[in-house]
Amino acid sequence: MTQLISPLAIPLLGRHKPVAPSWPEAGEGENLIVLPASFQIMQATITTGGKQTYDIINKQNAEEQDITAYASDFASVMLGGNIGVFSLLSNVPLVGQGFAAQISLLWKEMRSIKKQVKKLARREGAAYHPVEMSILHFEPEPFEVTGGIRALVRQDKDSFVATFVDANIGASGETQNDAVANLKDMMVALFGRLSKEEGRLGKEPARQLAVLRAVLRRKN
Amino acid sequence: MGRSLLANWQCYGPYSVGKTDMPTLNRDHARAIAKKLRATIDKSGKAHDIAYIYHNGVLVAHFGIRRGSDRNLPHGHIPDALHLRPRQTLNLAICTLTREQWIQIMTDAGWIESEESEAESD
Repeated sequence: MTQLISPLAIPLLGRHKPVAPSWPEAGEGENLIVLPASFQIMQATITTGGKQTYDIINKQNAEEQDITAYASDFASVMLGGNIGVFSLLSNVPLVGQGFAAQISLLWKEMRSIKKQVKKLARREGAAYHPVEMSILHFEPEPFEVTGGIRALVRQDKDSFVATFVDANIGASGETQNDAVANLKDMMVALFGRLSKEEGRLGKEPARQLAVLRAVLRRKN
Repeated sequence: MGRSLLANWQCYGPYSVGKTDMPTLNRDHARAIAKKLRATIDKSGKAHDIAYIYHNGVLVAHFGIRRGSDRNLPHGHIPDALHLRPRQTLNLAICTLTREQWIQIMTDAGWIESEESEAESD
């Protein structure tokens, strides 16, 4: 079984036990069937309901066998390499340990990852990705941009949060543009306030003032 | 002292925020935090009031409080401003975490200079 070159791998549903007396059976917990390379898929019929019928042939003795299956969560069958992955509903020859175990593991991993991705998507509320928006001016405020200011805008439930990450200054708004406008408002207000209180700034406000001075200045 | 505060700083009372029931941080929470941290409110901004928090006469943090008629306006920007996780920030607003505990957290994280290090530098 370890010398399989082009196997057909089939994850089995637990209750559908294969019956093939002349073939070796899978061990306890095995849920895949691997057909050796000597077998070839002659024809595959896949209906809209997911039912799949395969005609396979043993090239060594020309014996033919049908496999009927339903698409599993993979919802696809890879025929290019004579590899099919589906849930088995009928009797098939059963072979395989090593390669089958690997496919089985991958199959379980993929299902687990799919569940986690769905969970994460639900937690985020929407498939909204943070976007970067450049701030190019502060009109009508008497400030001009002297360095690159990029705001990271992310969704926060029903509103948006814009953050000037370099200075850790953030503001919320109903829309992306709202949030960025409010961020600009915050930056201007902080520029004035922090400048006035320069002598008594803690670590973070002092750093914020330095960053603000590096990216904007008051117009003459 | 700081270590024990950090270990126990989350609220475990009836008003603490659990993992699954975290409400949105809103304007009422923001105002409660500003009050708890004895912030000075600057109302000169266009869309936000700004809460400035001082410790020993030094400005250590600030955050915006949104204006508008809707008291449920989300304030998702506050956790970053206070160097806290969202759940921690909510706990700061609605449970027994004190201003002193938050100062200790900020000190332990290096955002506020500890009084010992200030004395040494003097």
